[in-house]
Amino acid sequence: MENKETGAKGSSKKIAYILGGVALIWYVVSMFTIWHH
Amino acid sequence: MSTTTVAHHEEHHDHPAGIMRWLTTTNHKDIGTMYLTFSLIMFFVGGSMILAIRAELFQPGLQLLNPEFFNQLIGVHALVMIFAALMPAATGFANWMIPLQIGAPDMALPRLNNWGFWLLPPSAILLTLPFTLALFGIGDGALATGWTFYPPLSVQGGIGVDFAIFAVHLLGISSVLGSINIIVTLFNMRAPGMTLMKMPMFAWGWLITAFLLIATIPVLAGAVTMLLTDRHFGTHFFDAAGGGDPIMFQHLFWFFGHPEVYILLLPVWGFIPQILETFSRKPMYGYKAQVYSLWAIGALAVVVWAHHFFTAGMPVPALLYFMYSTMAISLPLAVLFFCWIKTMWKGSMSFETPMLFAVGWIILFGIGGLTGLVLADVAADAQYHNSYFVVAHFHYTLFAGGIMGIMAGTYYWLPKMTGHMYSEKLGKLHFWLTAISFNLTFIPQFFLGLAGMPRRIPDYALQFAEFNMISSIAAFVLGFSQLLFVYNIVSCARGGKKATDQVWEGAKGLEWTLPSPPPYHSFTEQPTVK
Repeated sequence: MENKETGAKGSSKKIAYILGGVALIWYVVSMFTIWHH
Repeated sequence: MSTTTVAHHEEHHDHPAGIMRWLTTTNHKDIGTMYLTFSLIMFFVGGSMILAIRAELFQPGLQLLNPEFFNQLIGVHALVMIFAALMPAATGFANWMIPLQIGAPDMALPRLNNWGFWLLPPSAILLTLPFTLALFGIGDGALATGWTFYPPLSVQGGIGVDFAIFAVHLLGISSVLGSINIIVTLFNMRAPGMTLMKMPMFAWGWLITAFLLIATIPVLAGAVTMLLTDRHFGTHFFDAAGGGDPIMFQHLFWFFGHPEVYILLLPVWGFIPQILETFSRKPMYGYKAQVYSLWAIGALAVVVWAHHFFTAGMPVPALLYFMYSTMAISLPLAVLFFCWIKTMWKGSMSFETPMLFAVGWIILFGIGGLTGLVLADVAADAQYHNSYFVVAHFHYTLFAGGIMGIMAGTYYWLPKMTGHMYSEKLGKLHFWLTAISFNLTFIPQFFLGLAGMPRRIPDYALQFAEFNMISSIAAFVLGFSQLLFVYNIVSCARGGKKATDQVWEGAKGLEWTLPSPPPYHSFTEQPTVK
């Protein structure tokens, strides 16, 4: 569905998966901050 | 696009009718309308909670509410207003306007969009259900910790805390899904010729908001997940008795909580300059400066969180760092204020309702910003912390800066969305009633805070009586004057004078090239931006 003429690289789904993956990893990592104790 | 083409197209769109249209819709305008309607309903739910609180605080002594219920109303009021009223309002505008503003036929991920919205009503039910359950003797009501969930109170609290933890998880998932959709839409769906630096300011505000949400919501979710395991699965992350650290929760919560302020405000900072340029009839001043300032604020937002708990105790270098970094936010914000004022400077201004709200917003939000600077000062904060000064400050930022901004946006775009003009007379009356009663509600609270009245208490010492009485009366005027807002929206949606395509004489941008209301499928022919 993306407008190729805008110079957009990659598909919408790929960007969505990357962003969702980052959010999920960040969720897990945030819980490890407690380990500094 | 000619009107004939649109009419022809409207006859042939194939969406279901009735309730199924709204349950299954993937149309950005339908989903935007649902977000905005949900937000308006929850605004009144959260508002009625605070009116109960203000009724209790009308005079010293306990009259109407028991202290436990009072605390529950305080916490749920904040969660409802932040997560279920303000955020969905901004997301509703994003859904409605971003595709129209960038020349896209819809959002990039329409089914994800539907899912993002439909997570909200269950979350709202989870937040408020414990009140009802308590009436039937199940549990002891909603969470009574304030919206911040601080342990050890939240570890010891009743089932209301669990309900709120699940609600926050769902709200967080909804926000992350919405953010992903907006980022992908803005990166991949812009019309040919619309480079990033040609995007409308509202799109910029939302792009940065979306990144902030993805950076901070998972941390809040992580914190409340750990809270849940502390409550039910024998962990001691935040339980000092078991070797845990309750201050760690405060760090995690505010790593989300402070950027949340900007998450609520950045979309408003996006469309307010558009309103100012429309009603000043001259181009926006300092477009690039505004974009860079928004980015600077977005970046600073995630590195200043600990100023919310200076008094909890931290090393002096940390106090100094968080004080100076917080104060540094005022620099890009001052650039924005300068640009907003300069946009109006020597313009051919007219004061329709959106402009009244926008100008009032600049002044009132300015007070919120300046009082924030006072609170950023470590030494001064030792006196102001946990007082009504803080309550007044964040209502100047979140009610004036957030909700009144949303009202400006509503009046600005309502004719485009509905195809009808609202009543200008009622709109102006709504503005003046809101602005005056808002100030009368919260100016006394600054003085109450300076005089030492703590927040989140159902009773207070006798010397605070007069200011509380003024604040309570004004709060009721403020609350009831919002009925005018609803009346104006509903009557505008039902009919009225037909709005033109451009609606406002000075309006610029792709959304004003479409008919009012826009057809079900916008941009059947792709526009090109020169």
